Amino acid sequence: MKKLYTILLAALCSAGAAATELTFWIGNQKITPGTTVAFDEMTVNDLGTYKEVTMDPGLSLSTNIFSSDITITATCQSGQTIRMCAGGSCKGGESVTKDNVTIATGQKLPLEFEYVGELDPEEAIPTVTTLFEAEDTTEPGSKTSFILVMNGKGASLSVLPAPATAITPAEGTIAYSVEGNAELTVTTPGGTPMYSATVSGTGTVPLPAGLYIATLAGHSIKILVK
Amino acid sequence: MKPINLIPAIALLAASCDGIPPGERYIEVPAAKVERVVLLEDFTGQNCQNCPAAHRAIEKLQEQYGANLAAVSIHAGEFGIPATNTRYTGLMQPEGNVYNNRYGIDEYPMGVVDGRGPLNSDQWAKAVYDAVSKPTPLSISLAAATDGATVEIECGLLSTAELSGNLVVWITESGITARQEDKDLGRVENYTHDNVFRACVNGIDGEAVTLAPGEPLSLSYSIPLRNTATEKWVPANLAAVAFLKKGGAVEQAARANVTNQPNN
Repeated sequence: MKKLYTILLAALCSAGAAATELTFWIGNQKITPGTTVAFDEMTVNDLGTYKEVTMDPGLSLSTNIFSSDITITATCQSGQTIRMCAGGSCKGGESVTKDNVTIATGQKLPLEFEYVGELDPEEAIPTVTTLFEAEDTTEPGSKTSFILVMNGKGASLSVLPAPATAITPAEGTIAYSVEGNAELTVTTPGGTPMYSATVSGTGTVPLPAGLYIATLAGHSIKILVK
Repeated sequence: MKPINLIPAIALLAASCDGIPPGERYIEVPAAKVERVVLLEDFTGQNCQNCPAAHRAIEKLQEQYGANLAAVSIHAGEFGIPATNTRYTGLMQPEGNVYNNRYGIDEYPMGVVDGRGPLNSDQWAKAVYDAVSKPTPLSISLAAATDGATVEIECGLLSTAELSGNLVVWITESGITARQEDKDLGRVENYTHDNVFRACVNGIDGEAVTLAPGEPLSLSYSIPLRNTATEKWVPANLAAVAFLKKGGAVEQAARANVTNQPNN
């Protein structure tokens, strides 16, 4: 009987195996990986001698498979101090990383992310640009990212045109094409890093023949180099 | 790749298990045998929206352990508001950040129980339970009184074994009304802050002491009541907390409310 259960368990496990897919959300709007999103809603409290500005976009992260190995990083590229409390405890700074975050299947975990600034009455409200990245550290290729621009010039929630990107395999190399600057990383399916750099325009990365996971501007694909 | 269809398999396996009799479904944890006063340092911040939940956890632990728990809320780090803030009441002292940085704390709330940590707030109950039953050779008697200008503190140490360490004495204040961010309520302007670290009485690292077995040691300290534009202590809400630290661990702690008359 025990052997029968073991066989059944093994069959169910292999039949149900799937890749981890992490998804960022603003409210109920799904964010496409690798895009830049503008969010302009804010609260400004005029307190006489100063004003307090709060930008809270209501970000959350979901996964299609339960994981307790999720790392979430928010890096403010415009230099402000940001706060994030995802997973229980709160961290603040120009770059905030929460490790070993647990998200249940289908759960949208609120990131509890915000910018709060105390400004002089005449001081301009800053544009706060933050790169968000999330990854299941046990799943190479699960990394997803997007850029959030708060108090940009757009409507309250809009997706800015993403820079055109392309990754294609070639003999002994992969070729890339990207508008503007973007981060390009290449790893093996097992997670061994092969290449990492900020790239721009077109170029090639020589690699031994094999299967790789290439991530360009937050978008990951599997690519076979011959 | 991760397996996701485990539910049918688990159901099959579970179906083959015998039912557990109702009387055996819970394991009762015996009440802790109290051997000491435990020090709980709660590193917190007024801008930390998850910190009120930890404050409530401290209240429950105080109900459970009473005088055997000395809790101190140390405002520090990125979510603290300096006590010198002129726009609104801040509770963060410079010494709090020194202690915070020594423990390497950069997320809040975080706790240290008898020198052990930092610990997430959901680990505090077990840590206090484990700590309170650890025997110690040291007993500390503590009394504090104010004449409205200074706080006079009398501390008596008695050990049944040879013991050396650093005696640290703090002033805390409860019942402070000041803003606090709350995950569910947003900003609470009239939040009541309790057990707030206010000052070191005998230096950040305290005073080195050496105790011979059976020989009592009495120490006296004095600290002026703070009354500035941004920080005004209310004497009736003050307490003194004393603890002996040896090699990073707290050997014993004590807490005494500040009474409104000088010691005789």
